[in-house]
Amino acid sequence: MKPTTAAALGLAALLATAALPSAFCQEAPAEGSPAEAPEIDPAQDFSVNPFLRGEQTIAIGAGLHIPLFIAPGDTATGERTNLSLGGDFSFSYQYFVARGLAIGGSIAGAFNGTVGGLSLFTAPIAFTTAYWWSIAPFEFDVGGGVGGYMMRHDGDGMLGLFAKAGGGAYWRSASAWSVGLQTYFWLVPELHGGSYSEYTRTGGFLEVSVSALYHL
Amino acid sequence: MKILHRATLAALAAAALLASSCNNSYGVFYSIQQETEQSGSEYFKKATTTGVYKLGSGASTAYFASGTKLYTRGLADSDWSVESIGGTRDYRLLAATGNGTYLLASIYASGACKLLQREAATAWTEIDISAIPAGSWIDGLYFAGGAFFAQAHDNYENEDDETDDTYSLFYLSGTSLLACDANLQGLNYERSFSGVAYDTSTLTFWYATRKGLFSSGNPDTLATALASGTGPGGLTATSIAYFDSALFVGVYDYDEDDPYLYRLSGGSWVNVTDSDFEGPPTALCYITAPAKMLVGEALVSSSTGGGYYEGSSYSSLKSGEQDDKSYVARSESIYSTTIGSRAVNAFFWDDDNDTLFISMSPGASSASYYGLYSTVYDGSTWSGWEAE
Repeated sequence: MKPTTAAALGLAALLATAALPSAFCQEAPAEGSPAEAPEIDPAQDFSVNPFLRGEQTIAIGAGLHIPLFIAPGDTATGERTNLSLGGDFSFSYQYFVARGLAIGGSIAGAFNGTVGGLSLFTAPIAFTTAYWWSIAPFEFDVGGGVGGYMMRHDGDGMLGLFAKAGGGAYWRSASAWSVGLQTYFWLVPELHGGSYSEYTRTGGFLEVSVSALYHL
Repeated sequence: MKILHRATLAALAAAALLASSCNNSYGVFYSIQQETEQSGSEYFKKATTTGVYKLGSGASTAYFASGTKLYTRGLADSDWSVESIGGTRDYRLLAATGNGTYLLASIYASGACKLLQREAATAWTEIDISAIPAGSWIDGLYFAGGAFFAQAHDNYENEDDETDDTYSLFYLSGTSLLACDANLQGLNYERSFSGVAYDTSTLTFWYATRKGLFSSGNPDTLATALASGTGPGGLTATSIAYFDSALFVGVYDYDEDDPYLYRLSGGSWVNVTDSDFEGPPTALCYITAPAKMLVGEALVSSSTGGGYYEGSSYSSLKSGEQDDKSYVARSESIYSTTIGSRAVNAFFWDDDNDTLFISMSPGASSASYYGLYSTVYDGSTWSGWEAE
C-alpha cells in the first residue's frame, strides 16, 4: 500500500474540518427570547470552555505512520519516498496555562519499511502547545510542537530538528477518560553540513492514531 | 549533591548516546531514496550462482549464469530460462566457463558426466572426455591464456570422506580433453584447483590449488610448484587472476583465519592485503574504464566476511558499501540490501554493454536475497545492484 500525498492530506483535512464546523457554529440566542434564560448545565454550555487553568492531561496513542514525501526527490527514483505505510506510538503530557490553552511535551516513535527490506525508525521529542474546546461529550484540539528527533536506518543514525501540527477529536467516555482519533503532520528536516550537504533532505509524514487521554 | 552528580552523569550519557547516533556522512533519506525494490528471477531467489558468461555481440548477446542448472537470457530480455544442454533440461550443472566465443558446460545427466561446448549460433556438441579417470566428475572449468581447462574429480562418491578424493587437470585440445603435466595429476584432497590464470608478461600459466601454486609455459609442459615461503607458495589459494599488468592471488590461512592478497609483477611477489579484508578472497575482477578493481569475499561466519572491496587499484581498496554513485553499488543501502555480509563467488564484466554481474551465495535468509545481481555504468555513475 503506497498512500499518495494527496490522499493523506485529504484525510487530515477531513479530520480537522469534521471538528471545526460544530465548534464555531454554535447557536446564538434568538432575538426576543424571554429575559430570564433557562438554567444551563455548565457541561452543556458550549460558550464556556471546560478546560481550566491548572488542569493536566496525559495521553497515549498508537496508529498509522504515513510517508508523504522526501524532498527534494531523487532523479533516479522520481518523487517516490521508497517508504511503506508504517506504525507509530506516542506519549504526551499537557498542562493548561489558561482556559483552553495547554502546553506540554510529547515523545513518539515511528517505524516505516523501505523498498529494499530495511526499516526507518524515527523518534521525535517535542514541546507542544494546543487549544482545546468541547462540545459535550466531544472534545477537540488543534496544536503543534517543535523539538528534535533521532532517526535510525541501516545501522546509521541522524539527529535533527522536528516540528508537527495537527489536532484530534475525542469522546469523553468517562469523567477522567477521553478516547479519540488524532492526526499530525510531521516535518522531519535532515540537515547535513560541509561536504555532505548534498544529503540534506526533508521528510514529511502523517500520523493518524487512536489516542486515550486521561484527565489528571 | 549526589543527585546532582547523577543527573549530570545521566545527561552526559544521554548526550553521548545521542552523539553516537549521529553520522553526518550518512544521509538517511538520501540512502532510502537510492534503494530499489529487488524482484529478480525465481531461479536466483535464495539460490547460489557461481558465474556469468556471454556469447554473441550486439543485440544478439546472450548471457548465461551457472547455478544448479545453466540459465540464459538475451541482452534485452528480463526473464531467464533454463538452457537446454545436449537436448535436455533434466541435468545437474557441475561447472561452466566461457571466453565470449565458446561456452563450456559440464553436466551430470542420465547417470553420467558429460562435457559440452557451443558457440553463439550453434548447438551444444559433446567433447571427448575419455582421457579423464573413469567415473570422474568434471566439477571445475577454467579459461586462461586462450586455453580451456577442466578439473577431473575422482572418488567423489563417498562425500563423508574426502580424504581419498583426487583432482587432475586437463586442457581442451580440439574436441578432446588431454592431460596437463603429470605434476597436475592425482593431486590429493587438499589440492583441488581454484583457478587458472595466464601471465602475459612472462607467458606463464599459473594454476591455483588449495595448497599452493604451480606454473608452466604451456598446459602440457612441466608444471613447477611455487616454493613455500615465496609469495602464496604452499598457501590456500582461493582465487587467481591476471590484470592490470600483474598476477593477483587471493589466499586464506584457515588456521589463523587471515586473508591475504598477493601481487606478482616484475618477478616479485608482494603482499598487498588490505587491512579491512575479513574472509577468503574468492573473486577478483578488474575493469579498465572506469579503472576499478574488485575483490569479493566468502563468509567466515554470519557476521564476518562476505561482500566485496573496490578501488581504482589494489592499493586503494575499500568496502563497496559507500554512498557514492562512482561505486558500483551506488549507495550504502543498496549494498547492504543486496551484497553485504553475503558470500561472493564471481564477478563478470561485460565491457560491450558496461554491465557488471556479481554471483553470490545468498544463503537461506528470510529476506529476499538473490544469487545474481547486475549494475550498469552510464559513463559517470553506476545504476546500483539490481536482482537479475
